[in-house]
Amino acid sequence: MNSITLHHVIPKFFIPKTLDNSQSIWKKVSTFKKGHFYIIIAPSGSGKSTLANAVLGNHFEYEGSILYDNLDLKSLSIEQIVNYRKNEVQLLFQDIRLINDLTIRENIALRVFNKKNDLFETKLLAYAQHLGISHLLEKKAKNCSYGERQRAAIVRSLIHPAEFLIYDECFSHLDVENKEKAFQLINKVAIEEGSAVLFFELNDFPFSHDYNQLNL
Amino acid sequence: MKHFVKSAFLYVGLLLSFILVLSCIQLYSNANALFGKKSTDSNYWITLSKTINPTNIGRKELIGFNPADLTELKKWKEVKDIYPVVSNDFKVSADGGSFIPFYTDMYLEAVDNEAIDIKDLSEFEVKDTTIPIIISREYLNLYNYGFALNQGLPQITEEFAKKIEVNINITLKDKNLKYKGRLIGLSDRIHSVLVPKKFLDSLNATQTYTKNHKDINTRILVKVNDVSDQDLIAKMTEKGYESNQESLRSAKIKGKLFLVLRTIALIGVFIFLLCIFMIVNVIKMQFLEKHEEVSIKYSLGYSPKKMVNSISRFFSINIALLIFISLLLLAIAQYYFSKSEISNGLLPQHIEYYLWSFVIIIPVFIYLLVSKLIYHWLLKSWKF
Repeated sequence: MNSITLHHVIPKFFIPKTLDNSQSIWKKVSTFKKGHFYIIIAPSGSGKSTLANAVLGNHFEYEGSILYDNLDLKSLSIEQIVNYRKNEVQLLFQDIRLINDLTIRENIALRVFNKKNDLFETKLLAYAQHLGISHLLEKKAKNCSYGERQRAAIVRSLIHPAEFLIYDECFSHLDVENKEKAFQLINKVAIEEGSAVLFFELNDFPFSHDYNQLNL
Repeated sequence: MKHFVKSAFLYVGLLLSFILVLSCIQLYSNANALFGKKSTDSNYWITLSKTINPTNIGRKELIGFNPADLTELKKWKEVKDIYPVVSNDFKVSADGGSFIPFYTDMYLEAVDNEAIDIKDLSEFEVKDTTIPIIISREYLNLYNYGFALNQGLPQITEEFAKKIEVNINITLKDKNLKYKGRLIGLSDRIHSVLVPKKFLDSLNATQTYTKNHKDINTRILVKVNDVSDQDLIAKMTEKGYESNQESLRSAKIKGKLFLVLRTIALIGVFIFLLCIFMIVNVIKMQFLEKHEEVSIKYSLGYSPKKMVNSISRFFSINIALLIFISLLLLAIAQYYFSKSEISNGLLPQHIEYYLWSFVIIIPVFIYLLVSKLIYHWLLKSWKF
């Protein structure tokens, strides 16, 4: 998949705070291309999570259309949409979504769909090392702090990266140092894999970057 | 532990339902083997007569079957063929001559040879002055075990009875005839004293008063597929027809047995449906308990259809095992049942072969049904 296009998208059941903002991407045509990097900044209540979930195909409560290349998401079946999540689009939710009773390692392995191999193990150890969670791999998710779980979720998002990586306020519980480390890791993997990255954030990152900045 | 107990109850219920339903199918087959199968190839004989009531007493035209009755009877789908019984329209008596000193008035009847249950009817023809006679085996039994014992007379074997000749005296309108009567066989089907039909018809034809009762038959031998056919019994009751008791007794036993089997099978099917309902709900509960996990997997790219199919497959395999165990138990029971005295060597040692196909058919059916129901429910109930 080479692009995701928002075509005059606007939520059905609420009016985003930023709708009247001339820079907002609501109700406009915006295209996100594979291999490009974006940061979409918006205040609370402007519909960041709503849009991120809509792009993943988790709901259709919006007017307008979201296109995977030229395919309208609304025309796809649940099974077709789910299939896109394996290699084309993935989202790291704001609420992290780790399975509490599984260990951090098991949670990360969910993204390789029971096809674990040596490459997976190498990547897992390297990414966990980078984000400082190597010692947590055998610990159950429910026993980890929110920040640790957030880093584990970032590792999971990179172990088998899709062509479009979407992160919804994924650094909310990280200090600046860990935030930057995580950003660097995501950026590095995305460049290696040729993936696009879309960050939905409240504010711009407190470090320099060359991402396309958009507003919601 | 709670989950285990819940599953154990579910599987015990399923095992019970499978044993009930499959047993009923096998017992139905066994009952057919013991009482005779209902098929177009089967032949059962019943003797029909009209119920005697104050209106028809003494009136042959009312107590007998007229041609219209016979035509209607032939149209019944349960009836394969009918054979009217012809009776004598003249006076008949018998005596033993000087050898056996007895005298009795008697009656003669005749029916088509096809309806007589004696293999060799080559001697069943009137030659010179000898009339071949077939009587009911019951008559000989009545003599041997009733009359002869009480009167101090000797018992008579079938072979000996065939050697005895009696005088048959026939009084016609214009002449008297004397014949020798000789027994040629015993019938288990017809309770009568039978002579060749052609002979009786020729004598009846000489009687003028026959015309009043012409074409009236007091009894009819009827060939049917199945004497336990409830439609046949209902029609007979409606028309006021009676049948010989032996056939009806067998019919009633078979009818009641099948009713019991149907009831048990119905209970089994009910339990089975209840278990399917439970399976669907247990799977739903499992999904609800693991809602978060399933939702996370879904967002990561796991197909909901595959998740549902995987759990349905698990249940279907368990059900296949349960059916296999049920059939195994049934096969063992059938083997010992066939060896028991009650089977009288009529029951097969194995269960019906087609029952084994249920090991595949039912689980596949359950797999498809449960998958479809759960998937439909899942997509409707999930709020992502």
